Amino acid sequence: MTSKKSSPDVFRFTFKDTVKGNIPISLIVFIPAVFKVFFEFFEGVLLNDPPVKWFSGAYVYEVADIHEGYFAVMILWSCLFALKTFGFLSKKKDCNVYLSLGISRNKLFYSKYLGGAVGILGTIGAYYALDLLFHWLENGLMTEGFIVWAFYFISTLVTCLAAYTVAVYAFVNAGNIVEGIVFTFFFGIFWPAFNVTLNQAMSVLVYGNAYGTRLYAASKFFSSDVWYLDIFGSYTEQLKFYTRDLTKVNVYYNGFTTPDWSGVIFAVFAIIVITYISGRMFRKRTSEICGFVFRSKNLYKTFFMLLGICMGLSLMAAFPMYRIAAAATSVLIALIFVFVSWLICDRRVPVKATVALAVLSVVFVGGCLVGYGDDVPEKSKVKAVDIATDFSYLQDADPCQYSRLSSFGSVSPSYLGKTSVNVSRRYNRDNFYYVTLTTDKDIDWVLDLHSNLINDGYRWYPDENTARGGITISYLMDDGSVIVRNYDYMSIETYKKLLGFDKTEKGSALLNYALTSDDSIKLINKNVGPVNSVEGSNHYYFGFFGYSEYVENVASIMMNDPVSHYYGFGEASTVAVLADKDLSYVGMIEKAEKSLWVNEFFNAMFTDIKNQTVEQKHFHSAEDEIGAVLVPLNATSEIVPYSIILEDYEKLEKSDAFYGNFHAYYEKRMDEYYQEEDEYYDDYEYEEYSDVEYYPTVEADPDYEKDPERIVGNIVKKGNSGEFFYTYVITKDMTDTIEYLKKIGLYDELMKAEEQPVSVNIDKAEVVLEPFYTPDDKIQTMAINPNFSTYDYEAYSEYMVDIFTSAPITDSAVIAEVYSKSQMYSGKVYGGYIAEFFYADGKQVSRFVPASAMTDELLAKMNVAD
Amino acid sequence: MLEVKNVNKTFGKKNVLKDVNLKVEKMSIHGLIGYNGAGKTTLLKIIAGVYAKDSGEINFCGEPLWDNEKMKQKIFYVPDDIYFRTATTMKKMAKFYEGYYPNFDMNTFNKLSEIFGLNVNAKVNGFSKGMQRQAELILGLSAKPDLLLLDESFDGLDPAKRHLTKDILLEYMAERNASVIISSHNLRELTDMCDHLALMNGNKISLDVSVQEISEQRFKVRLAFKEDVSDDELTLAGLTNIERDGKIITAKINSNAEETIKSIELLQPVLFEKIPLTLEEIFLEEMEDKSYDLKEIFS
Repeated sequence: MTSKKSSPDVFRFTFKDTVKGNIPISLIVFIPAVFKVFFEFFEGVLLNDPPVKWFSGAYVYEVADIHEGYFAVMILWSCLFALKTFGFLSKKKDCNVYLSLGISRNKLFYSKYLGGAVGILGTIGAYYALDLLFHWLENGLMTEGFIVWAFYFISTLVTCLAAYTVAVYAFVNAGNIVEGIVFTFFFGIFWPAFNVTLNQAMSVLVYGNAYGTRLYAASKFFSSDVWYLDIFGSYTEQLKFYTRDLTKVNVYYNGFTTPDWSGVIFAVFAIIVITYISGRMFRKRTSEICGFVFRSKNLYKTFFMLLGICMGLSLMAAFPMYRIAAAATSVLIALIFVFVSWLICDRRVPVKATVALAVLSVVFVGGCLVGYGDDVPEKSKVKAVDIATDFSYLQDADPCQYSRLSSFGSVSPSYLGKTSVNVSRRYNRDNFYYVTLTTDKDIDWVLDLHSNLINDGYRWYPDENTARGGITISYLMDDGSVIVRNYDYMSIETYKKLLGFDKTEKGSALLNYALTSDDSIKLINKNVGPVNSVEGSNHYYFGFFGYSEYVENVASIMMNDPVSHYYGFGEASTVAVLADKDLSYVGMIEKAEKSLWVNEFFNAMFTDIKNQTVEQKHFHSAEDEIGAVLVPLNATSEIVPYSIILEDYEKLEKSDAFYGNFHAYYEKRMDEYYQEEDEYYDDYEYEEYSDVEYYPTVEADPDYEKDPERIVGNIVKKGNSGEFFYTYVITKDMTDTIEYLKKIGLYDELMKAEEQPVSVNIDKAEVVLEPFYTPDDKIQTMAINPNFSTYDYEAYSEYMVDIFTSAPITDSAVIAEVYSKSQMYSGKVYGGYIAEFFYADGKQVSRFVPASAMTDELLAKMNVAD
Repeated sequence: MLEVKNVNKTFGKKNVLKDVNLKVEKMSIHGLIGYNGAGKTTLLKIIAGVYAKDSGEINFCGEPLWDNEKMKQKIFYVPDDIYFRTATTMKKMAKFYEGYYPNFDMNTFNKLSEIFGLNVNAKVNGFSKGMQRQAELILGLSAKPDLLLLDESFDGLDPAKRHLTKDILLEYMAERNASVIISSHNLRELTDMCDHLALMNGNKISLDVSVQEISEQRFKVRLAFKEDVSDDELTLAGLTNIERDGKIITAKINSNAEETIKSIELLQPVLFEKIPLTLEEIFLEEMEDKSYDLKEIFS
């Protein structure tokens, strides 16, 4: 009996064997992932798409993928690895062989575990490596980008490994597939509940504070947001606008991530611990199909007891407004599970388990540790207050009639030194508002608000006096502790008080910053140009001002800034911004909280718009204007009744002013482009008006024509919808509007002295140009927005680049003359010029000069030859 | 070589093994026989490392066997439930086992496969049950273990292959100084093969002896007398299970063999032969505590 060979390296062999066996599962993800990376690369490079910033693409697809359930799929996929790797434990035949093989159980477990883990690592690593390579090829290498890449790679990997490890644990402990699945499910529902427990209840018990603890960091991993990348606290540069110091406004669409590694570190730690425990359990596994959970009475009872509690806690986490109901439900569910365990466990009452269950239920749920504090701290002990609001719960039942508002994501304020924003729900960020208040006045305001909230009491369901919206008040106390309170419902009165945030010192500073800082002004003016004068609606007809990539950026600023978010600004709901005709911020016009559009101001404005003549609306002069109103809206907001639009077009078509301008445009056109290129005319629909002249037709959307009274405002936009502004020019003839502005005290503000531009140049505008762009504008747009359509750019360049003719003029008399003939942008230009006015502070405002208003003499002064 | 001492194993409330002791020497073929559910497979799985024992000791070559990788590499377990990986071939399975058993010999594997007429490159899924059983045996023998554990491994083999397998096992044992434990409830299969027998009765081993020893101790007698001798006389002499076929009487010795033989000799038999008991007879003898009156069942 002599051994012929030396002992084989069984660990290595098992490891390799496992990796090999898992290749088919790797391919499930790897093939589509590689396809995606290739597709993105070739789409960008070969199709000459404008270059995106380095790794901004990574962010985009991560976010998009998350929205598409990418992470859920990845987690399931990781569980598949566990099933494939340790599935033998669920099959008697397989078990007989694997456990009798010439390998110790420890080695068998760890070699197989590592084999599975390496499969996950290899798959994700190869995918990300390709991604890195192609991004590098496309955009070059940047340290910051590399960090982003590393963060996404590691966080994705860790998330998958965590799911894999938990599933392995389940299979090691379970006796069969059903048990494995049940066990995995148990962890699945355990996580959100565990989040609540760790995040709040436990941290209060252990540290006396909610948040700000290591447990909080830990809980982030176990939170229901585990499906999202933001479990690791990532957020983008874009969202830096939220930061407390407001040091930077960056409207990069897809900025870089600032990684927060705490979640990753905790996850790695958890993986190591769970793996070790799994290894121990594997070694102690007493039989091949042991039915471990359901054969061990103690484990069985514990299992069901925990399941019951967790389900209750999960319910509570999911429906925090029903805390008492959730508490009762959780106890009920837990008792049901205990009863089931009694039925199965030899009809013996699991006394200890029941008692423990009751105690835990009371502590975690009934004790309401997570919830409704009834104390307002003493002001003298409060150092600062953070407020985070989340109006994602606004819903149909809300008497505030937020029924048209989308129900979007949530916000988790972080006290780990970084602002935690749910970047995974980037598209839904509209609800976010987060700010720190430090002055006495502001703290008073919060304490008062807090008292109101407490006085509101429990509100289980929104009634006509209840508004629903999350608010978290976090007091930083003098002794360094943090008191956190969350409220989900409030009375309308409290809600109104909350809306008064802009009256606080911080609120007004933020508001001012958001709307008047250099960054904002520059962005607004450079990228947006003047507001349009038409009562905005579908861009196709009225040159919808907002159908511009630029406007999205402005919208981003407006909607991302704390104040506008606070108001639900992005939801097109509660406020409008009043600007003078140079687009300087004048004030906010609040709307009645119980209605969206039917209110005094808008009624007045729409009445005025309806009564305007074509000249007043489309061909007025600068002197006629007094300002503009910017109204953010989302895709579901109501705008202008289509009947008004139709009526306006009808008037426009028949007006002398329009005809005169159009005629002047043809006479004055400087290039030969339109004459030579017949297809140009084909691009727009004209009908023969006379023997020699063309006249643009008004083409109505058949859907709209069917129902002229239909509310127009369903804007279809590339990508995410809902980030638009409608702008309305206020002219002197709008008497009702002016009267309202006087009533609310903003008219005088509006009429204050304006700045004088220091230079002007003009571009020739198209006949029917939608939100007008200069070539420079377009290039900028593309620089900041990788989603910009190549087609749009080409189409635009073809028609516009060649006719950009004017050099800047600095003669103040000429500037004044051009300005006097200019007007705020009027949707469709109907032929004329775009005048770009520059101010001493760098601000730029673009205005439209109708062709009929631009004399030959003035053109000559502008050095534009006919 | 293998020593099982006071091993206990419980599943739930059921005590499957109770103080089980077994000793397997080098170069021996141990038959493990017993009723269905007597605990044979459990014992084999504990030895193989599939099950963990609740208590007791199992030593192999003087070392504790549990999770002892070095020792496990010297033991090959061929389970009753045939296992092959999905869509695999014998050759791939050989490669698989080669990774865990240092003595695995591909030459032996190829030769045995040839002898049994199995295509090593064919998908095992397409094999009949008997062929799969042969494939398992081939793989087990190719691993050249010092101890081969066969659980009902003759099930499904045709008589020719069964005979061939027996010959190969005997040859393997002789060549490799190896031992084999075969569990079976088919006693005839083990009769001319095992040199040791362990009988599992209830949840313990009630008998663990060498075949030679048991042949000497347990036998029947065949008698013939000039004059008629009554059953009572024979019973009094110590015989039991008395059967008559004309003048020829066959009976078992009830207790003390020497005294019984002396008593019979006093009756002056004209024919007195000792006939060894078959394994089946021994098995039944050991298990005969449960007897049923079948007539009662249907009356």
